[in-house]
Amino acid sequence: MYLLRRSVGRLMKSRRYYGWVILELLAGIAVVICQDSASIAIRERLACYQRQFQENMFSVECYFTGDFFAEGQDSLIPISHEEYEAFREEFSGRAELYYIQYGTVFLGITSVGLLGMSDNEFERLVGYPMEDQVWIGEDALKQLGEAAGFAEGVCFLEGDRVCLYGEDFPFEVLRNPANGSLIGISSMAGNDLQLSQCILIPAGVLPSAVPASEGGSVFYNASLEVGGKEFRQAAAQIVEALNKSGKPYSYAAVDRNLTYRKNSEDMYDSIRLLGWLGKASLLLVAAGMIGILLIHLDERKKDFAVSMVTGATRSRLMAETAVEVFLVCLTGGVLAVGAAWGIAPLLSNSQYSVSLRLHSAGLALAIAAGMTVLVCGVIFLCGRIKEPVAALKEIQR
Amino acid sequence: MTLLRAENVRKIYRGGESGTIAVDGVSLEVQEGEFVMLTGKSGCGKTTLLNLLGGMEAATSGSLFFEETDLFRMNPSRLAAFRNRNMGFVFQAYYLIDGIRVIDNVELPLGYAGVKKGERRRRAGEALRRVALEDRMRYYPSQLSGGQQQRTAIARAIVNQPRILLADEPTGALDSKASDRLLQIFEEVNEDGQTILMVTHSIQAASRAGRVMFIKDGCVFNQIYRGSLSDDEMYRRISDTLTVLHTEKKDEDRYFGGKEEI
Repeated sequence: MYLLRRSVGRLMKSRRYYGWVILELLAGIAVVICQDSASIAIRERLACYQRQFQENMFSVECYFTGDFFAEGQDSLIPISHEEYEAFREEFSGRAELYYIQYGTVFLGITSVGLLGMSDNEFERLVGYPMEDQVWIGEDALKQLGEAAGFAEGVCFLEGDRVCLYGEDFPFEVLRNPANGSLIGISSMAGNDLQLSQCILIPAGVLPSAVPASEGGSVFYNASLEVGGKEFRQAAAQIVEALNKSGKPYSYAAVDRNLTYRKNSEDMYDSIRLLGWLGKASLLLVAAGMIGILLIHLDERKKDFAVSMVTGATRSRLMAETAVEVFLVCLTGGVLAVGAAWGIAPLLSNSQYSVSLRLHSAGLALAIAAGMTVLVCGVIFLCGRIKEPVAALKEIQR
Repeated sequence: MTLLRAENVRKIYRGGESGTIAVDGVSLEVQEGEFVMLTGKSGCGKTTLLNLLGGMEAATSGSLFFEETDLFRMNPSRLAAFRNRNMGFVFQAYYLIDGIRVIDNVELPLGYAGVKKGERRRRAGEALRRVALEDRMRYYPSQLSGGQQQRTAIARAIVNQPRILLADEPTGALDSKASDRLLQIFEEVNEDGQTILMVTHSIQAASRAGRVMFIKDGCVFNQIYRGSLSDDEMYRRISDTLTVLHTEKKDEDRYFGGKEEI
């Protein structure tokens, strides 16, 4: 206790320690931010994505280039309310709207509407029970729409326009006057129209697409996400069927999982690099600390000599200095963690939020303090503290 | 009463195949309350002898008794504690710790002696008053003049009320005025019963001691006791002795590299 009091007192009295604490503070901030915020948080976030992609998520995206693109694509017109009602009537009883949504991890593609398939058709085609899916028939759609805050489920009227509604953006249903085909257009961020995100599939088209297309509305884009390993086979069947048929689509199928995985692995590599940079920065900081410590102890040779002359034993000085070093590390480290805690939220403008976790900060502190004390011990063992006369002679030189 | 007694103390510095005899079989006694000066040419071994007598350096052979305690038989830890309780040191280069204030420098030996904080502060303040630095206790050493720093070092040396004060050329780096002030302090401390053993080159300083020991080639060459001599007579006799000392042929046998087996 006396040793602690004395060391604290010495730290308070000696001005040179203040600079050391500031250095430690800066070093600690660098370590904590690099190692924790910029590396660990993002790395774990990505690992989470990767787990989702590998274990739970499977995506198929189908691109269709049918009659719709043959002509008239530059003169799309919104369908009227009457046309919409007619459209609904046309498919009434034999058309269903499927809204499938799994997760929100992949930017952009979060939902798919499949219009025109009955449950049985869908179930037969994809080969898994509908009850395991987010399956929405017309009634269920309404329920979901209400639960999710949709005005009228997936389809609704907005002025004269008929829209489909996604979670974040509406789909405007348009018709190609050249051939009467329909298309869903999503409007993201209000102005940026995008031909994507929606599929309108007339009843009977998808199953019949395997033997032959029965025409009708044009597919433009199908983006399908299904979850769980057991769904892969189903999705694969869809892709296979679409590819075999050749019409009305010319191309189908991308195993997005591969793309996701590759993308995430690429990102993971980048983040891993960042993690290593964090570790490297930790080593640099440790090296800096060692350097500071060496300089500090070199400067203190005179103190050691004087202390020994005035009655301090070698072991006493060793213990005293070790406590001082530890206290300085602790003080600087605690300040660093506090500062990093304040700074971390300011870095959250990136795609991934930055957070600081206690055990990571504690680990950084422990490493810094432990390494410093270890080095301190090594220096002592190397004989930095000499007998009085030898110490005095050394500082006289 | 004999405070310090050295018996045939010898110190040889070994280096390579040869070595140097720094102190060559010195035997001496220092009485309690004495003011003893050690003087001699540069390199004659007086600082080494002082270090040996202060227990700061181990002798090659011989014994050193502080009253009845043989210091050369003590382990380093006990010796450090013994030095802390019984000895105070003053050096030419002051050796104050720059990063802490004057009062904290003076408190240093008390801290190692385990004295409580309040008592430490009181005794350090008292020691600084004795050297007329009570108004500088909050200063840092770098803010003091050389003379003031040396007085701080004296305060640190006497704060523990040691039985003996050992000073190694304390006036060596000071001008005559500061030296005189410092010697005055040593005299005052000695008058209070403090035993002082001081190394000096200065005849002026040596002439103020109760006894002067002349060191030559690691041996005690001669001694002068003040007795009833005045400062001037002391000065003259010291001067004469040093003249003899300086003109005598250097004892080449002291350097025995290849000449003498150790």
